[in-house]
This record gives sequence, C-alpha cells and structure tokens, in this order.
Amino acid sequence: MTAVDVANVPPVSRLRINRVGLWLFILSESMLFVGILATRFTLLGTEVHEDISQAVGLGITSILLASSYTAFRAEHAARHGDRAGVLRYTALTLLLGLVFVGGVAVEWVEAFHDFPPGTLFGTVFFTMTGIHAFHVITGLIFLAIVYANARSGRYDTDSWPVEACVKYWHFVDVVWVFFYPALYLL
Amino acid sequence: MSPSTRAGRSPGLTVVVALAVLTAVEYLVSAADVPALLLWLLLFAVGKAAVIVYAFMHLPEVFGEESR
Repeated sequence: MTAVDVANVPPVSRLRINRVGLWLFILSESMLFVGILATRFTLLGTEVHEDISQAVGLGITSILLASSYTAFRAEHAARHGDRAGVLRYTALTLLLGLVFVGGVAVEWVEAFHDFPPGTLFGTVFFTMTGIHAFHVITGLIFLAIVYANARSGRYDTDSWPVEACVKYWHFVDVVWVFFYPALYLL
Repeated sequence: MSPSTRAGRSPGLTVVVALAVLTAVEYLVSAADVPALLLWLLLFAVGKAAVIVYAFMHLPEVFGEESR
C-alpha cells in the first residue's frame, strides 16, 4: 500500500474531502435529534401543552429562518472574497442567534411555571429545547471565531471554514424545522 | 456593493421567502386544526428541510461538480 502525503493532496480534492466529512458529521448528529424526536412521540403521542406560548414559538422560528439567510450571505461573500460582506453577515447571524437564545430563555422562564421539568411534557420540552439551544450556542461560538478570523483576512483566499460554520448553522435550523411543530403546533 | 453581493441577493431571498411562506401556512394549518394534522406538519417540515439542505447547504456539491 502506498502512503498518502495529505499535505500534497490537491486543494480541490481536499475541499471535497472536507465537505464529505462535514456531511458525515451532520448525519451522525441527525441520529441524536431523530432519537429525541422519536422519544417525544413515544412519551407524549400528539399531545402539546396548552400553555405553551405560540407567539414565542413562531417568533423564534422566524428569527432562526432569517439567520439562515444572513448565514447564506456570509458564505456567499466568503466564496467571492468579499471580506466586508463576511463580517457584516456573520455579525448579523450572530445577533439573530443571540436573539433566538434569548427567546428560548424567555420561554424557559414561563415553562418553569407552566410545566416544570418534573412533569412529562416539561421533561420533553426542556430536553428538546435544551439540547437544541446547546447546539445553537456552539454555533454562535463557531460564528464568533469565524468573525474574529475574518477580520484579519484569514478567509480571503480560503472560504472553507466559513462554509463549514454556515453549514453547521443551517443544520441547527433544519433541526428546529422539525422540533417547532413537534413542540408547538400539534 | 460588490458585483458578487448583488448576484447573491436574489437566490437567497427567494429561498428565505419560500421558507417564511411555508412556515406561515404551517402555522395556519395547525390553527385550523385540519384532519391528519400530524401528516400535514410532517410534510411541511420535510419540505422546508429539503429547501434548506438543497439551496442553503448546497448538498448537490458533494456529489456533483466542485465550486468554491
């Protein structure tokens, strides 16, 4: 068997390897969320708590969808070497992500009163929103790192780190696309 | 504004508007309490996820021609 010198792999091929690796990571993360979603339906059936705030649910869902657009724009700017665009749209995505986390925090304050973690619905609600919020927060940390590096021009010629960060952010959005109806709309 | 910024605005906007419309319809369907609601909500969720994965996450790039 011939040893492969990773440093000499052509850049285009390395990009493809990076992309496949990231998709495999996303696929493995999906298993966690599918399991949580299956648990939710096993424990609660199609029940949704009547005191859950529809306004907050719809509001934070809209914010997360909007953040997917700004993240898309950040990636697009990175692919075209537009550093100002990367900074602008990464900052906007960060801001929208923080608003989303704030919305979840508001929902949690109400939820502690209406359906505490000790209740069946409360257990499901806090598990689903908690694990999702944890992923949002890790995405925010990732975005903050990208923003700091982009300021020094680190992605002017290599946009892959921005692309990876943005893909992860979209994944967090996709998870919420399934969690939102399961928690609020049934 | 750079040319690349102008070129990118339209496709992304179309996608996010489509997602917003789907979310609004999903909410209204839920509020109307239509029969087989779970199935409808599943269809909306799968549709929205497919749009994000295809248009925002560029899934075809993994299988097709590479672009930067």
